[in-house]
Amino acid sequence: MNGLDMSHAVLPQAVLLPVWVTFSWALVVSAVVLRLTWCFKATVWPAAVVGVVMCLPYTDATGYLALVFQTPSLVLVAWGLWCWADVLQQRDPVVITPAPIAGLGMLLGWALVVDTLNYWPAGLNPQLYALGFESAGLWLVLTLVAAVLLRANVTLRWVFSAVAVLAVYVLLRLPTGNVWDALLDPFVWLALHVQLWRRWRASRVA
Amino acid sequence: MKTSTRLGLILLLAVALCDAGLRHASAPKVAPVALVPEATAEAQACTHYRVVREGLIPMPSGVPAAHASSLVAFAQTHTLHTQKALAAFWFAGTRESGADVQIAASTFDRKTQAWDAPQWVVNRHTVGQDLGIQIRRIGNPVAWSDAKGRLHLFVVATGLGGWAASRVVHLTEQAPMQFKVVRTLPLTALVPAFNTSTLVRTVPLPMADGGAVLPLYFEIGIKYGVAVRLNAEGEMQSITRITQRREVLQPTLVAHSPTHWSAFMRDYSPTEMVAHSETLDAGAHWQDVGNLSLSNPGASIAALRLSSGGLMLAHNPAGRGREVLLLSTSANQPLSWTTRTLMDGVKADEYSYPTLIEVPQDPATPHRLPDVWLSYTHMRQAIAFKQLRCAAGSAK
Repeated sequence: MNGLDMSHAVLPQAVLLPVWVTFSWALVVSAVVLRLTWCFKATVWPAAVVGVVMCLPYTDATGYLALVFQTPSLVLVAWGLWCWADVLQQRDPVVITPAPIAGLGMLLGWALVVDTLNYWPAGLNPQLYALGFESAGLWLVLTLVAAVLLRANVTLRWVFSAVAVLAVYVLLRLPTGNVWDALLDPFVWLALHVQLWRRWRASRVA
Repeated sequence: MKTSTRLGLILLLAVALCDAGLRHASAPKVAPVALVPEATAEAQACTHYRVVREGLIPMPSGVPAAHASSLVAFAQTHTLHTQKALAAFWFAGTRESGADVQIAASTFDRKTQAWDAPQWVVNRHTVGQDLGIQIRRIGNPVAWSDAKGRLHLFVVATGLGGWAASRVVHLTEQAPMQFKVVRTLPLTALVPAFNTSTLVRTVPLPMADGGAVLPLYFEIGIKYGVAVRLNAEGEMQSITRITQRREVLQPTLVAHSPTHWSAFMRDYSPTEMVAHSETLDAGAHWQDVGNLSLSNPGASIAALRLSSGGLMLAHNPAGRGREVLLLSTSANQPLSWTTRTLMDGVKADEYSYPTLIEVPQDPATPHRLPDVWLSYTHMRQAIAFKQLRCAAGSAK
């Protein structure tokens, strides 16, 4: 390896991690509560209380979530932030993920399943998860995002979200130092399946 | 082109440049080749090792179960080096996977030539507190000494779901034999498994730059080995899958040359033979090369490249299982094993999970061949050790 090496992993600063675990889960869970309670009553207080309580050290609620799920992706945290921003600015929630990105995200998730289970065909050993630590993984993502920007009709909000997620990943390497983990977690992956299924169903009805 | 598109492309380019700059600033400086000491003619003449000391490492009082030991020699730069030769780490508690299991450690004193009283060095509560994560159980520890002689521990910690929900926690030494958590190593993707099901068991392969390659394994029905490259400070640099087989685990690494390495693995298939993968480019790519001629009953093995240039492997045989512990030696290449029995018990006895390291005999006589130290689980109740020395007559 030398100074031009772009394949080595760069992990987040260890001191950031406990803080990240606490605040990311508190934000995500409070956003979920917000979305659920907002349907019944237009108040932010239950979600705000849940968020604050989860940040209190003695409850350790985020520690139990991390026990099972470790950490949310940056995309899920961005979703949580938009939930709060939409409610506070009295906007209706919108789906902004372009269909090509949702499709690629879904495929990436399935490829990571195959990679984790070591089920690549004999002779093909792409080391997909390892690629996520390298610059090549990030540049692949940047290229795909640029292609979508050029080809698809995307909103300014999605552009800023995508750039913000990638910028936070590059600057802080959260949540794990791997770009796939910054983009996808099982909750986001499931949501992409639902989004694509809804689009497919809507297109059939139309 | 829309303004948002133009702005987006500019920002994406900025992100790419930022990544390149940050990576350039943190790039490792030395080529990643294994540390392979040149074997002198005198060392090559050593063909047989005899046991010069053996026994049990003292257990913490009132603790009935022990398993999965790891050994590490103190480097010359370590504060304890003048007093202690090596340290042993293992997990102990009421039973394997018990909530009270902790990592115990003992050091071998140069003056008394005996193991010191054991101490607890890691428990799940402090690990969880440091990580901000609840930990249900802890298990296998692996110890390593970095380029500055500072010790690192890699410890298996479980979430919900037993060993299948394991993650590997990295700790470093803050004061002699006192450890603090660094992080949970990112070893598998959040999709699908929330970075679970990866464990550690065998000692790292030392690298020429003072770093190491830490062998690990994925285990949730499917089992396979992976290797994590650590730099001289112990920071993770990369991860590589070392086999395409799905029934082999607990790889143990040896270097035949700086770039030609082998991974020998515990076999969980009906074949019951020690599995073998190798790399010719210092771990960038690995190929499965079949099995060794040595049987394996699905039990952990330990391999070591000796200063004499040969290889040593501690293992249990298929058929008899963990009641027999064998020690096999071979020339470096081609592999041709000669096996001797170290422990021969009766059914239900257990001498398993061996660890092998070399430790210099005495700091004052560095020209002598280092001793081989072996530790292993003794009846699941304690950790046993053997100190082996090149037999008189087989080397001058």
